[in-house]
Amino acid sequence: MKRFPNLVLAVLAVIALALGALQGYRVRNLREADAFYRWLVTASTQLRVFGTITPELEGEEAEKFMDRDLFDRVVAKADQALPDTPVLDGDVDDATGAPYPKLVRYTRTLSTGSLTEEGESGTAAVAANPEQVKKDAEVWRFARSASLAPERADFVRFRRDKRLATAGTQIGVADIYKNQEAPVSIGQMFLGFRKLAAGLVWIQVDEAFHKGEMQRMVPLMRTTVLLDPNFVDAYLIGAWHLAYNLTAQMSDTPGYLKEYVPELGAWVGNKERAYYAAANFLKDGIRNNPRDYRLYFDLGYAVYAEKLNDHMNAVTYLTEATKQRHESWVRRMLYHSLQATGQFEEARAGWEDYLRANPGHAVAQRMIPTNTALTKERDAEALGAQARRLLTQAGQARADGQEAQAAELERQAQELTKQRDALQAEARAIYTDLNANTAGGDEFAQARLWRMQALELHEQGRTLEALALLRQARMEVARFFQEASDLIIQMCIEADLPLNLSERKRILEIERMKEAWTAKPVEVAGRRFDFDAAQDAWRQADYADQETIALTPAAKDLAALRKDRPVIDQFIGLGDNVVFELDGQWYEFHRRSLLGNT
Amino acid sequence: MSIWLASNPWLTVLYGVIVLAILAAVAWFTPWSIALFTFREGLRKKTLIGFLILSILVIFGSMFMTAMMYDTGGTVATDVDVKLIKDICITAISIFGVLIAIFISASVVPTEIENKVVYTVLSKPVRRFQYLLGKFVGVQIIVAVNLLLMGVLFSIALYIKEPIFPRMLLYAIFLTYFEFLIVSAFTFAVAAASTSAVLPTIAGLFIYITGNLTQYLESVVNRSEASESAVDKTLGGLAWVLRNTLPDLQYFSLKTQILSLQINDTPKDIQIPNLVVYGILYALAGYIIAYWVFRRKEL
Repeated sequence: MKRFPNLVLAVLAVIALALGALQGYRVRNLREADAFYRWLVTASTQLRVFGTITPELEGEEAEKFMDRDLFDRVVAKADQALPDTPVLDGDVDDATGAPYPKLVRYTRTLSTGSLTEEGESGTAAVAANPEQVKKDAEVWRFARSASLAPERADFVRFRRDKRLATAGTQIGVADIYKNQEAPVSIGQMFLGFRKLAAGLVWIQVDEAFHKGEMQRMVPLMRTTVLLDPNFVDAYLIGAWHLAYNLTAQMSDTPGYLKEYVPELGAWVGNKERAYYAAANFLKDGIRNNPRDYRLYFDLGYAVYAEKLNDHMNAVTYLTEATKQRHESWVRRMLYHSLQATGQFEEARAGWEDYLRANPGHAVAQRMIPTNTALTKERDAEALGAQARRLLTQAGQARADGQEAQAAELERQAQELTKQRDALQAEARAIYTDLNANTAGGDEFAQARLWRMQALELHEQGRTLEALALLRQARMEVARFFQEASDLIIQMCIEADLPLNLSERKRILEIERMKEAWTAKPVEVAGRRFDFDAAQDAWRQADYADQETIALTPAAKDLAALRKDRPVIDQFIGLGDNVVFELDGQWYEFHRRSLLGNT
Repeated sequence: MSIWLASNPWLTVLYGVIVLAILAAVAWFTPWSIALFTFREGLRKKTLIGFLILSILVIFGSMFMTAMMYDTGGTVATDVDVKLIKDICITAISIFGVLIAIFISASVVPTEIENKVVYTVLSKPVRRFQYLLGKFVGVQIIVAVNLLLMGVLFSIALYIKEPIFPRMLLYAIFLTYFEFLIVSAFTFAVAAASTSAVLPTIAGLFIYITGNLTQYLESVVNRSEASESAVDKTLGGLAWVLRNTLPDLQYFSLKTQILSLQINDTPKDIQIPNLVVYGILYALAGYIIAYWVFRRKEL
């Protein structure tokens, strides 16, 4: 030191810099591993929720993206590296019937055990489950492991070259799956203060909202989340603005003026366009923040269930919300949507589970018998329909002089009617109990009782009494209004009774819509669909009375098919009854009466 | 090899030993009287007090800003208010904190040379490296105390809005200090070679901005790989060396991630000790360069 002080100091400085640089390398590696780990979670979630880890791309665009290829390589290694884990309910891919790969099962319910702050978001979220925390640690260890070094290196390279469509939290490249030219260095543009910049842009959004300048809000909202893809509230409030505030001043587009948009699988007017924009905004949020239940919840409940009345999709997203750490009301909304799709058994099982976790919960106590009664009502209606078919056949047999066969058919119909009556009586007893035992009465149960009574009166030929009952009932129970109004119209037509002005207007609108549909076939995924007004059904052009498989929103088969072949959403979005072909098999879809959308 | 370097546990142990040795050496060799004197001198500087007052104004101003938003119609959720307060406050702390760190690091040694105080001190039985270490530690105490003060005010602002103990904030403030440590150490090195505080102050700002833009060098390296030109290749090589040698202050952006992410989606906390080691090693490099320059200085 004394002889060559400069040399020694120079060497020391170089050593310190080298050690710092090496540590920098280690930190960078950790950051990349963290981004890789988040990408794994994002990709697994997207596979489970959206059925694909990349958006639907075609041609060169599809070849450019390496997500699926990279993910498959990681999945293969995860099968060997991660500990065995049992296959639970919901761990099965509906499309194939096979369990999800181990990696997808592991990332299904993860909880970050470290650096968490309960109540940070203003409400007390469900506490981290130790088992989930352990799984999270295992996935993190796996993502950092030496065995995944080549995949991690490829991940970094693909991300740099913008060949990963799946942008996860903290990856730092927002929106790349849409905007290939998005600046990678947006973070550095603001010297690390881009979150503040996002906040300041958000203030502009708020200002624009209060000034009523809705047209300014959408680009500003997009800028906000481009600057800060983790600004979950921006996604939530932005979607709310789009779905609720933007549409508040809009009038409903009449059905005959709506346009069918195959990409959305829906007939859309101005309001619907805004609803789907809100849904897409939330889906962007999910891609960037796959673990935040609020995004799934708002997408499922606030947009699909409340605005689009699409409970099939609501169930998909609310189910995913319950897989993340969530508030207890998330599950309640899921069970309501299950009920609305006609999955009464599942809804009932969910409520029972909920009641076990929350003893004495008043809503759960009501909803368990409600779903039991709805199951009975549904089964009774099916039996009634079957009995009516048998009676028709009996009539035909009698006309053909086959008296014995007619008598046998009538006997069977009577038997079915007895069973139907028994089920109806049971349902009625449940509703009556519910109504009597609930303080102030149970509106839903009361509405169901009135409905059953009206149907009975109508069947006995006392249609005028049935109509009077329904007209009173729909005024007393707001959520029964639409269903009661439809029943009134149906009964009046069946009994050849006059309709009032609003009912005639509704009929007229439906007729105009049907006329418009009949006049104009629709092209969906390269197939032509024609509307048959007499049958109230959309049929694929080459349908010729082939044998079909019947599907309803409650059918498990439909859920599996939709996941495997998302194009089905484009078919069934055409109307309440759709006949289509897929892979050589014909299907008929019937959107049945939903029996009480709560 | 790269994986070995990235995740070898023995290397982690070695780093732990080195950091402990550095801290022990600092504790042992620091003339605490000089450090405390520097701290007291620093507190008297009007510029620093000015920055501190400004930061306090911004921190509490953030509450008014969000309050105004709420008053205009009451549609902004509380979460957004809290997020905005966090973003504004952490930015204020970063900007004013780094300005304080730069100004104090840039001025302590040149001021003493200008006032001739350094001659009196060095005539005592104090070696130059000890004098410099005392000054450096004094600067760090000032930076840490200022940061702590701003952190406490930030916590109060947050607590008023949302009465939950802001535990995440502690991690964020803690990390911010090590970001300042790097900037401060290299500014100190420039200041050791200078007789006025102006040049090191400008250099400090340059270091802070460059440190945040180091990742740009990576795109230079990537582009040079695709090029055939020898000039591009040379530039790429130079960019590679600089990319891997210069400190990258963007790594400390983890602090904002910690603050703003949701409860079920936080970054892996193993990054925090690694960033602490990163900060300490670059600070050591800065200090050695400072001493190397200062010992050759004719006083």
